Amino acid sequence: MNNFFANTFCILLLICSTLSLRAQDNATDAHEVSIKIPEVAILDIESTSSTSFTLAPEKPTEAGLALDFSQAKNTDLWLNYSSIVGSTTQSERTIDVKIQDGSTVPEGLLLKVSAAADEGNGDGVMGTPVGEITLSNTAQDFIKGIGSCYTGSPANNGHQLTYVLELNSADGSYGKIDFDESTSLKIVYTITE
Amino acid sequence: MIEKFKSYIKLGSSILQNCLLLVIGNLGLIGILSGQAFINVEGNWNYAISPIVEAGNDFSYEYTSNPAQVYLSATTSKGKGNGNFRWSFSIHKEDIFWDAALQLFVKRTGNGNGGGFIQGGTAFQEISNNDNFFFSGKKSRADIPLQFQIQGVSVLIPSGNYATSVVYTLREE
Repeated sequence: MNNFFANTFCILLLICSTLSLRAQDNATDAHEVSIKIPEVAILDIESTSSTSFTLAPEKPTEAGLALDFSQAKNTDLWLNYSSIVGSTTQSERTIDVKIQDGSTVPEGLLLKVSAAADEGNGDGVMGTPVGEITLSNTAQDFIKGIGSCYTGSPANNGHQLTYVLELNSADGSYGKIDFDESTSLKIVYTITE
Repeated sequence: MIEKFKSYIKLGSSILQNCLLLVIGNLGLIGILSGQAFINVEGNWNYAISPIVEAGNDFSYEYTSNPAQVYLSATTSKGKGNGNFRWSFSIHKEDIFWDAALQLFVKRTGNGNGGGFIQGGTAFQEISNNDNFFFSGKKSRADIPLQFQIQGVSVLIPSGNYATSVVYTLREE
């Protein structure tokens, strides 16, 4: 009789413990997902027509008057850029501009460029234009404080550029103007990497 | 009195013997009735975002892996009646280096190989840091294909290598 109770007790325990272990049965495994986001520092010049243009003063209509530079202006170009900065390696980027080596503005004249504020079609930390600068063969800061951002593309996004051709205000400049001296210039913009 | 004491001794001995049998029997019974659930994961997803080719643009917002980027299996040991093997997968991620703007999604793109049934998990669902139900089935099933998608990619996120560990838990029900 005692053996009967002992056996019954153990069989019940066996069943309960087995069921209990079944309910806890689980297992885990894992794998990795990695995404590499590259550094970005690119820019380009966009236009609704062509990125080449001509600036020239208008001839006077009345003898005795000077050349008219008031219309020697172009606002067709837009500067677009995309940038990712590194918080430790490079916290911001700068765009500089210069006239490509080997060519110069005709004597007596000045070529100036300025950038408007970003058009607002992108996102992020846009750069701030430094204002109008007179172009030369030396690179000059043009837009500073660029963070991680994108301006949007193509024309009508980013910073609108304004080029003006002016008579140098220095004495004797008008006398240096030479109509044989028409020249083509290449303007180079560079974003720091 | 002595006879009663002997009776208790005998009863205790029987219980000890049966407890020993219980341990041996339980191990055998687990193997026969319950079996053991096995999970297996094959593959991973290491993806390099292509550089931006047009200045002014952002990266694409989302990138998607191959339809069968990772294979998942749920099997049981041979001893168990496979027909009684009901299971479910849950999923979560454990970040190694991650940005809060990035969202990782997963879906099941096929049924894998096996009998019984498999259900759920066929629409993209976000993998969070909390464990969530993924899909379930009955009977052993191998090579269930999974596809991943990353969302929220932008130049506004610092460049770098972002990594997370995707953890699957197989539960026998």
